Amino acid sequence: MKTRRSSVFLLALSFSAPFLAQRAFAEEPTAPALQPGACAVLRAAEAELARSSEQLKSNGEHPLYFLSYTIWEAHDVSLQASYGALTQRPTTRRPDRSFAVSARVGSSKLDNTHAIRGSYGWSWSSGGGGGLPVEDDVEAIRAALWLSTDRAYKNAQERFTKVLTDRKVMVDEEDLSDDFSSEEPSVYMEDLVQSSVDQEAWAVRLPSLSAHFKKYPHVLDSSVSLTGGVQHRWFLSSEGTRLQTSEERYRIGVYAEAKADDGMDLHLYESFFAPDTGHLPSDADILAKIERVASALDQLRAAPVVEPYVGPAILVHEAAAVFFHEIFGHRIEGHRQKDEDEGQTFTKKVGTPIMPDFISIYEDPTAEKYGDIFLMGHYDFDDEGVRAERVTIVENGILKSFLMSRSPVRGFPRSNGHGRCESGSSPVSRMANMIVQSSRRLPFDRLRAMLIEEANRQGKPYGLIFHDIAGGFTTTGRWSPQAFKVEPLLVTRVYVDGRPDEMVRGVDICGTPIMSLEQILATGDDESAFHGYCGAESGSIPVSAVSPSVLVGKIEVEKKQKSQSRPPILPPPVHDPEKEEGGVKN
Amino acid sequence: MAALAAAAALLVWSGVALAQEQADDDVLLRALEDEMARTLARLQLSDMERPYYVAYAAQSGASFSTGADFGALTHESEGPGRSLSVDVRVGDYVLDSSSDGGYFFGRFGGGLCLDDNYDGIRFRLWLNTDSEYKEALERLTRKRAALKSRVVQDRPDDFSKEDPVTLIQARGSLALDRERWPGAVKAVSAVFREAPELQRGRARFQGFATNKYLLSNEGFVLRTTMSQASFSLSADTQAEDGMPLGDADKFLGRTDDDLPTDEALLARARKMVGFLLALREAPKAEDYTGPVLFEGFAAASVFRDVLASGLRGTRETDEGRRGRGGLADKIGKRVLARFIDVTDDPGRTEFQGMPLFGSYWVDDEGVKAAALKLVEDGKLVALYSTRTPTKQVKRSNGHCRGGQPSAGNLFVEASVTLPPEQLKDRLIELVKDEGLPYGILVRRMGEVYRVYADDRREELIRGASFGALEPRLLRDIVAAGADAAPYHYDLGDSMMTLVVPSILVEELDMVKPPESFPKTPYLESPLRG
Repeated sequence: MKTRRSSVFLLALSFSAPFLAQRAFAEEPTAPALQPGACAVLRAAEAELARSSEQLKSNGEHPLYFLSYTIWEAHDVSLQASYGALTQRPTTRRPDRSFAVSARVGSSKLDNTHAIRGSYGWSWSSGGGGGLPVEDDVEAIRAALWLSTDRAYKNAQERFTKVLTDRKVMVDEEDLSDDFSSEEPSVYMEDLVQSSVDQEAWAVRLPSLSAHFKKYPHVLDSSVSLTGGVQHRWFLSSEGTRLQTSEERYRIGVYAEAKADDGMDLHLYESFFAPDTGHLPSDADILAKIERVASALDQLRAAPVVEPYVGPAILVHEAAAVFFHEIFGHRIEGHRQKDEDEGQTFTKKVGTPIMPDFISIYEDPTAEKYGDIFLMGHYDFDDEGVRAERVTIVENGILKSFLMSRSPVRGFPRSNGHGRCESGSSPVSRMANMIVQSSRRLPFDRLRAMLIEEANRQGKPYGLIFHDIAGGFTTTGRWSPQAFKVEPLLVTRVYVDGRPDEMVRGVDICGTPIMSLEQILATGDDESAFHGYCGAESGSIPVSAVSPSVLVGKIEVEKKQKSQSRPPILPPPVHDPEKEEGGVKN
Repeated sequence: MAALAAAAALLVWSGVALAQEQADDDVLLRALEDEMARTLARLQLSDMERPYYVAYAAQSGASFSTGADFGALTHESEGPGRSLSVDVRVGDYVLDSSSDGGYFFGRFGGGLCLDDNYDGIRFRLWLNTDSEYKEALERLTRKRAALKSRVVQDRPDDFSKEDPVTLIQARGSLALDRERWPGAVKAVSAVFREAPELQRGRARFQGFATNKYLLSNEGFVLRTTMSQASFSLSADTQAEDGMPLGDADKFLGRTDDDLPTDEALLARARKMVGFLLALREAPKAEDYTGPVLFEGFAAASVFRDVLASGLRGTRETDEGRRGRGGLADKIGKRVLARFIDVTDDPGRTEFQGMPLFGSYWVDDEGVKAAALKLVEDGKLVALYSTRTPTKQVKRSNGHCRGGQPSAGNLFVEASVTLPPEQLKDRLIELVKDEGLPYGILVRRMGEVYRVYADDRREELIRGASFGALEPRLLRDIVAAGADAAPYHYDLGDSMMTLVVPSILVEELDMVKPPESFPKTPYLESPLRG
């Protein structure tokens, strides 16, 4: 398992549109007791939590000191069309309910979640989970919770025994922080959102939009999709936290592929995000993206292939946002700072400069918007039931803090509300909305001029501008190099001799994090956001990253892996001048 | 029980109606034919070989599924589904580009649209055909290179030539009682709620109907329709000592009309509860060597595991890897007791008034199936085959099902049979001859009894295991019952039926369960019955 703990950030490209995120929240109750009429899920979880946390304290070898349930109810929408026809439509008539149970034995100083050194694979899981009845049948829901709780508790017992042994036989750990932070319980009940998406209307709109790709003979596979929906979440813990949250989120995706004559596969993906159906794009907006994707693919097919290169480059705002997410964001996730299998690039750098002094970075799940841009990573409470906080990560180039879940690290004993997971997983510290700010903000023209100056200074014939990035990945474990790779989709060469800019293809950006951060020379004044789904050990979660464009003194690009197969032999059927129809010929 | 009765009252039966449609307004068929014509006329990469075989297999259908745990629905879904498989081969029937040892031709290419959109279907066919052709060229080059450096004796051809079949059946659609099944899974799984000893209790219903298309340049043009419905129920518990105990049952049919009534399903669930509660109290199995009587269901499981799955040929890959053996090298040899014959007849649709769901007219490769004698007087005389020739069989006998050689309707026929009660007498005789205190009777896999020689008393035991059954036990069958009946099995998108009698095996080893088990739950079930 060489990929252990590698944080893979596979993001889909997005262009932001101005969104207004308005949601009515129910009044925040202060009483810890459930309101009368609380839904069946809450009542079922409450009942199992009460008797399990009471009775399991005294059963088994090691006492249960913490128990929590998270229950998700997903009302998903997923529609996709290609070439004028629907290729995917929802089949479920009911929402999907799932749950996770977290059981901790021992004490907050040392419990069953403690890392066992030298073990491969996922180092711990504090619980279990699975599917739940979708009907509001309290007893049937309780039956499912009961069995998983029992299993989680038994697993916790067994693992805690191993933790105690590991402690005895291994050398002392470097970071002797507790395993579970102490937090104030929260009680928060949000109104449950009802999705207002008109699936039947979209089942007509998407095929008709997707038919526009038929005009382009060079476009191979293509699709237009609508995904998202509403997710309700309930969180209950033996410490008294009771949460009910409900969020709505949609994404329209436009995807297309083409093939260059040399066999290189080209693809572009663009998307829209909306916090509710009222902010979904119009057909005209989607059509504009379709046209943009189709024409960019056509230009890319004809673009020359770039050779490996080291030199100056501008990462245009959203590309820069992905860059920060990969090279920096994953390395300031708190739990990685004490895991002795992690690279710990920044663990001991708190209070010291790690990037130019004109850069500051903060992480803010509480922000619904940045300017007029709706942010995907917004939430009020994290998946450990802790209230989200805005955290200053870097101030004038100096590292200040980490993203913290309830897993403390040296110097950071408390959570700052960044414990996150996908439904069904166990939370770890993750990014939400990462905002990169600069005090050296220059107009883009000036940044471009500096790019040329820098290329000249380094004796390079050109610099590069990265406009779009599909996503990327990074490895943070000690098993693999501390490196990252991002996949640019649209790249142009800017020549020092004044020739017009030229689109190029076939490169990946690669590099190592510390060097890349030190190479930032200046930024633009053009902040924009990148939205996507970030994948790591606790699953895929929605995030946003905001950054201005960034001029980097040295960036390294390497050749992208390339398909060897040729473009299709026959033209697409609708573009075939020789129509041969009329049945099978023997 | 009042809740159950109310739920049952809501359930109404309905049959499947096949929508009668004309072949000439079938957009999918037209698109398949047109892209096939273009491919055959013009698909060629520079001066490379053109395909010698092109086939399109498509399915267009719909499915419905629902399930409940302990009386509460866990899901309910319904939707259309389409799949496309494109097979392009270069070379010839003797040596072609097909991948080694793969029975199923082509593979599923994603993304066939759900609507009858002519352009959308042609577009997908075009893309998949193009990439399959290019991969075929590469694969054949690699295969030829591999064969140059090896001596392969008696290499079977890569593909058998078969007579083309044309058949356009009326298209079917999914017609089932959508109101009935959510209520039925709830009511049936709610039965399990009455026993707080149970840790899990669930019921599932699934139904689908699909129209299958197959076109090839050899002249195969087929549009056939099929449907399937199933209802399954299962429950788990643990004995006091922690031994995990479970039981499951599944009913299959062509449509939901073939499934048992709600009353029968409820009764089956109640019987399952009673059985599991009895099993919790039952003594543990001990090691045993001696005669074993497999009744109906259990006999069908034995024949499925050691006979039906082994009746296929072998094919060594060009890299020298051996295929799965089974009974392939036993042709001409005795594999069963001398008084037993085995045949397969996909053309038969019923047995003593009971339907045979394993019947079909053409197999997955479009080949017509005829009655096939497999075992005669205990001797193996034939194997199931597909269009992929093997060392043993050069031609297809129309048994490509679910991508591999499989049974349709398999009949195990004994020339000498005993009434069921006499089978038990015979068991006791054998037990006495061996000087054993009891013999073993298996009603269903997991439902095992001791039969005491002195008073014929049956005693349920738990934790019995026969390990992996070996085909040679079939030679040790000493008696068969006069109770042959059909038992149906799910092959994924088709079914097979085994018509078998109860069998008495002279000697078999049974082993006792392990010594340690997971603990029982710390807390009582929240379901209080």
